[in-house]
Amino acid sequence: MDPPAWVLKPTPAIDCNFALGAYYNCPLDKTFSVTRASTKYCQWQSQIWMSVASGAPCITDQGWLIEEARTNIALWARDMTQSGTWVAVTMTAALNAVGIDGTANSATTLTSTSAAGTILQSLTASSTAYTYTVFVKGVTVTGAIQIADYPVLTPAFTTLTSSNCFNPVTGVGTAPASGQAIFLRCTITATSLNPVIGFKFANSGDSIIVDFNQLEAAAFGTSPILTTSASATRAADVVATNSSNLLDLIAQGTFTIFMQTNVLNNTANFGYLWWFSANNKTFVGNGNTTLTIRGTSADATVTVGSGGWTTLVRTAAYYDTANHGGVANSGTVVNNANPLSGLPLTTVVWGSNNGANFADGNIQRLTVWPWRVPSAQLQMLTSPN
Amino acid sequence: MKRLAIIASLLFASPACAQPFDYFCIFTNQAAAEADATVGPYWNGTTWDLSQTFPGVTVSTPSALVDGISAVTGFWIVVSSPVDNAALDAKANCVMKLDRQAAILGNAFVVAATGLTGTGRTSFTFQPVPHGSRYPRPLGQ
Repeated sequence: MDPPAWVLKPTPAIDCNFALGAYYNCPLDKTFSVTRASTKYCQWQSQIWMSVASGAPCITDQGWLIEEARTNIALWARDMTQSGTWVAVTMTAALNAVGIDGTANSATTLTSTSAAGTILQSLTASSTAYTYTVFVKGVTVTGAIQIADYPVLTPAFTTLTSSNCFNPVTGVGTAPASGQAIFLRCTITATSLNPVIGFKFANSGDSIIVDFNQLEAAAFGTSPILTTSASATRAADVVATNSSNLLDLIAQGTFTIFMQTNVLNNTANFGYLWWFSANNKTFVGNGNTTLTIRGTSADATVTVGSGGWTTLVRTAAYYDTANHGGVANSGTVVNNANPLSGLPLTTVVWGSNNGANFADGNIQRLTVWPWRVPSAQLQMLTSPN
Repeated sequence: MKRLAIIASLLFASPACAQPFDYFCIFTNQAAAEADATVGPYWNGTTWDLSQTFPGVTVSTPSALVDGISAVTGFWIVVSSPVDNAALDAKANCVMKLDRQAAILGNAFVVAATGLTGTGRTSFTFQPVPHGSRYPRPLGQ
C-alpha cells in the first residue's frame, strides 16, 4: 500500500507530523515516551492555551513543545486584585476578563485612575537574570504602557512596543493598542536582586487586560505557569524514543526535523540529539544557528541561519559507517568524514542531555529513513517550499 | 478526528498521564541526597532529573525537627511518580507521600506521613509547588 500523500518522498520508515496530527508508522505512545511531573499549558493556533496532564505530550496544531523545567516566582500570576501581593497606586484591578485559556473572569483588567498609575509586586530573590513575560491585551491605550523588571529601590520601566510584545502565534511584533482582540505576549529581561515587576501607565484612564505574569530566572520565557500564593514549577519535558524504534542499531539512516523557534527568544535551542552512545551525542542543535556533527578528530558545523521569530528551521542529518553529515534550510551539505563510531543506541532524544538540549520551540515534524538519503534530496527535503 | 483521537488517547489513556504521587524526602544536605541509594539515581552527577523531581523546595513547618533533621536547614526534594514506588515508600527519609490527583478532586490526599505528624504536617507549606497541583496551603490534613 502506498503511503498517504502527505508523507515525504522518498517514502520514509516513519513520518511523524505533529502539527498536522498525521502519523505514518509513528504511533505516538509506541514511538515516544514522555516524562514530565507536572501539568503544562500548550498553545493552539486559535491563540487558546490549554492545560495538559502530567506526562502528556504538549502537542498542538503548532507542533510539539518540549521545554526545560522552569519556576514562576511571580505570585498570583492571573489575579492582580490580590492586594497583599500586588500593590496598586492610582490603579484599579478587577478579575473580570476572559483569559488566555478562554476562561471567563480569569484575567485581570487594569485601569489607571491618574497619570503614572502603578501596580507592582516585590519579590525576594537572589541576583540573577530574570525574564518577565506577561500577556497583554489593550483596551484603552492613549499613552505609554510600561512594565517593570528592576532591582528593588531602583525603579526602571520599559515601554511596551512592537519590539518587546509579540503575537504569540505568528511572532509578529505588535504594540499594545486600544480595542485589541488578541493577547500579546510581552517580555523583558534584567538582572536584579529582589526584583520588582508590574505595570505603569502614563495616562489616566488607560486600561489593559493582563494574564499570566511570569518571572523566570532565565534568559528567555517559556510557556505559562500558573501561580497563586506560592511559586510554581513546571517540570521538564523529557522525550525519548522507545527502544527498537526508529533507527536503533541500524548501520545507516537519515532524519529530518522541522521546527519553529521559540517565539520568546529567536536564539533558543532547536536542540535535539542523535545518540551513538551515552556520551557521544552525534548531532546536536546549538541555538538556532548551528548544527554540530561530532567527529573523532574535529566537529563539523552546519550553519542553520539567523533564525527569527517566525522561522521554520528545517534540518536533516544522515549517518553511515564512514560519514556523518547534515544540512539546514536547503543549504550546503556538510559532511564529517571522521565520525564517531558505533551504531545509534537511542536515536532521537530531546531534553535529556544532562538537562540541556531542550527544543524550546514547536517541533512540527520528524521523519526518518533507514538509509542515507543522497545530498541533493536532503537539500530538497529541507527547502522552504 | 484522527488527530483528536490520538491526542485524547495520549492525554487520558496512559497511566503516565495521571497526576502523580509526590514523595517529600528530606536529607541532611544535598550531597546526602545525591549519594542516597533510592533518591540518588535521580541525580546524574550534574543535575537532578527535573522531569521527575522538584529539588530544593522550601518548606515551612512548626516542627523543628523532621526525623532528626532540621526542617529549616535540611535539603528537601519532592520525587514525583505516576505509580506507587516501593523503594520510596520504604525510604525513611521520604517522610510524606501525597496523592496529587486526590488533592485536585478535593479528597483526602495524605497517603502516608510516618515522619511528619500532627501540626508539623497540618501546618506544612512548601514552594515552589508543582504546576497544576492544588495542595492547600497549609496542607491542613
